[in-house]
This record gives sequence, C-alpha cells and structure tokens, in this order.
Amino acid sequence: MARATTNPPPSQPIDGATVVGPGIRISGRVTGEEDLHVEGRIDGAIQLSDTLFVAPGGIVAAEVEAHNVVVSGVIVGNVTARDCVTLHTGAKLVGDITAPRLVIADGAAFKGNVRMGGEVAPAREKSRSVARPRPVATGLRGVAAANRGPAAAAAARPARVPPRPAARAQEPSPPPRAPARAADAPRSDDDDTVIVRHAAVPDESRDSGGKFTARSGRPEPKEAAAPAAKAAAKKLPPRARIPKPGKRRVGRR
Amino acid sequence: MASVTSRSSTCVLGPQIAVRGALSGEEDLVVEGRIEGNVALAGHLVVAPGGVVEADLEVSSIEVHGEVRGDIVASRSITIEKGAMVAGNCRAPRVIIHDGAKFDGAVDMDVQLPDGLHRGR
Amino acid sequence: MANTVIGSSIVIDGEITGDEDLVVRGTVKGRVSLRENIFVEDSGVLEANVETATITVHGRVTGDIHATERAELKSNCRVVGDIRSPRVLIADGASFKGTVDMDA
Repeated sequence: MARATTNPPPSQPIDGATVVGPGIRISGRVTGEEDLHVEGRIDGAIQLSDTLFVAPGGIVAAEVEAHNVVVSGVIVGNVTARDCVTLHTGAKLVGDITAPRLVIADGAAFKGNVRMGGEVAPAREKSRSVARPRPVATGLRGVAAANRGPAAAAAARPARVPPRPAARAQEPSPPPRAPARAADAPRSDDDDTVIVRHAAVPDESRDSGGKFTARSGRPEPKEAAAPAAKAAAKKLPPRARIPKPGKRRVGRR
Repeated sequence: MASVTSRSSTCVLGPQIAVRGALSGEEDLVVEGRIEGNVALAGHLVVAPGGVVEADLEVSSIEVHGEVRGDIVASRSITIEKGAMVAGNCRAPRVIIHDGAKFDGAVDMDVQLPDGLHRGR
Repeated sequence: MANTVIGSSIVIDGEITGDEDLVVRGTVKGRVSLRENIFVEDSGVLEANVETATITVHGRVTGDIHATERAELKSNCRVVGDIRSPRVLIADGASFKGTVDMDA
C-alpha cells in the first residue's frame, strides 16, 4: 500500500487575504468573510464564511466555524465546516470535527469525534474516550440487535439470520437515515411475517444494492435497494423457493 | 470458490459468505461478504466494496472500501477509502481518510501537541 | 510588504500581540501590543489601546496609542484618544481628538 503524502499548501499568502504572521498572537474572537491564513497563533473563537488555512507553524486554540478548514499546523478545539475539513501531513487536530466531508492525509494526527451529518448510522454514541473493543463486543451485539428493533426481534425468534434488507437498511436505527427511509418504516411489519432468508441465498435486494458501482455513498443505491427490497419482501425471489409457513398452500385458492 | 484477488495467497471471504462469531488469524484477509462479531487479525484486513463488517476489529492494518460498523483498533494503520462507510471508533497510530469516505465516530491517534497547549479533552 | 494582514471583512475582538508588522484593513477591538509597525489602512478600524513601535493611521482609531518611536496620522484619518510618542506627525485633513504627549 503506497504511502500517499499530500503536500501542504504553500505558506506564501495571497495578497488581499488575511494572514496572521508567525510572530503574531491573537486572543479573542475572529470573525470574517474571507480566507484566513494562520501562521501565528489564535486563541479563542474563529468564525469565517470562507476558508481557514492553518499553516505548518500555525496554532489555533479555538473553536472554529468556517466553510472549509485546511490544516497543516495545529488546531486544538472543535471544528465545524460547512464543506470540507482537510488535515494535511503534519497536521495535528485535537477536537471534534463536524463536516460533510473529511480528508485525513497520511501523517496527520487527529483525536476526536467525527460527525458527517448522519449518512452513516452510528453503531453507538461514544464519548471522547475510545472504548476498548473487547469488553464492548458483546455489548455492541446487544446494542446492534436492539437497534434492529422489532424487525429483528420477530425474525430472530426462530433463530434465523435477521432479514437482510432490514439489516442492510437499518430502518429502526437512529433517525439520520430516516429521511431516506421514512416511506419504508411500515415495511417492518411485512418483514415480521414474510421474510425467511438464508445467508447463502442471494436475494435481489442484495444484488442490486451490493454492487460496487452503487456504493459510491450517494443516496441512489439506497433508493434502488429500497424498492427492490420492498419487492422482495412482497414476493420471494425466484431462486429461494422456501415455502412460507401458512402462507402458500398448493392447490388452494 | 473464492475469487482470487490481485493479492496472491490471501484468504478471501466471498460475497455470499456470512460469518458470525469470533474470527481470528495471522494472515491477510479480504472480506467481500459479511462478518458479524469479533475479528482479531494479526495481518492486513481489506473490506472490499461490497463487504459489510459489523464487528469490533483488532487488526494490524485495515483498508475499508465497504461498510464497517464497529470499533477498529489497528496497530499500524487504518485507511478509509472513497465510498466506504464506517461507523465506530478508530484507534491507530495512522488513520487515513480519503475524500468521499463516510465516517461517523471517534478517531484516536497519538497526538503530540507542542508545548503550551493542553488537550482539554 | 507586511506579513500580517487583517483583511477588510475580518473582525477581531480580543487581543493581538506579537513582534511583526501588522496591517489592519478590517476591524480590531480590544488591545494591540506589538513591537513593530502598525498600519491602519483606509478601511481599518481599531477600537483598541495600542502599544507599538510605530503606527501609521489612514483609517479610524479609537483608543490610546503608545508608540515608542513614531505615530503618524495621515489625512482623512480619524483618531480619538491619547497619543504618547516621541514623534508625532498629524497630516492636514486628519481628524484628531485627544491629548498628545511627546515625552515618550
């Protein structure tokens, strides 16, 4: 695996943009509507409607709110960006990052939570300290199973693999995915009675949703999986041929 | 009938394979299917684009193209590629997140701050 | 060209310290304490007490100025506050209200 190092932006400031030189220290609140290059030190709070650049020698000990944040130096504080946070090689950030996009280059150092606005349903909310994996493992399973909610409770009773479309879609789990799935919520009731899935049995929803081209993080694959899964829930895929108890009787109209 | 990827002699969990339980090993592993439970691997784990891992992972290094829900502890590096979705906490000396990756959770790298700065976390 | 430039849309509310030149085109409220030169440009607004080596004002300053070398008020500037400096230059057209103390 090649080590990709991204080059930090040049430290020469653009004329007209705001530059805090290396010998300057600002304590207080900085607000503005243009780019800010920090080569010195800012303590306090920064609020920009444009891009904050922290140069390799720059130190920002502040809560940061900006459109973009590009870090080659040090930030200690929570960072909120409306577009993208980029940590270049040599950057150090201690604090939480809230931004729809995040890039961490090899050689950057970061410690904190990341919130991307909820496209991925978090397995659980963790506070600052990172939990040790082993003691949590069984707890995670319990939590994850609880997250799968009524669908899993009903389907897990006969000790089968939980319904694949529901597990993949994570409907009963936290709301961030709810907007894309609000229409699917009632489908859980159908899953209770219909779905019998075996892990080795391919089903249509998995085929359509599992292809790599669909997994680009865009909403389309989820939407494509939803109607496909919905169709699969209504009728069994042709390959399965697993008779549903009490639902289909041969020769009975 | 695991498909052979470009890494020769690597164990591959094919796309129709689902593993539930504790998985451990000392070699590289490519996951194209599904793992639920625990993984302890002294090697390089690749979660392929369609792979889904709902487990806590303890690996030497990991490269995620697919989906991971669970904590990841790596002794060398964690790489989250474009198109991946990771929900959980990551702890490693090196964590690389590419543009287009979806990540929700905490990241813990050893950060040496310059003097005069307290972490306050 | 000075290293540190505070752009015109930037508002700083706090304290600036350092040992570099500073060009203010935006707004600074609080305190400024530098060992070098401060240039307050036309759009610059300084509502702060200033301690510096030299200061050149084209914009607005509200606050006391202590310049260890020189304080220069250009035309069209507006300064309200006391100036303490061994050399003071007030150009024609400058607007100034305060006291001047040239005993450094």
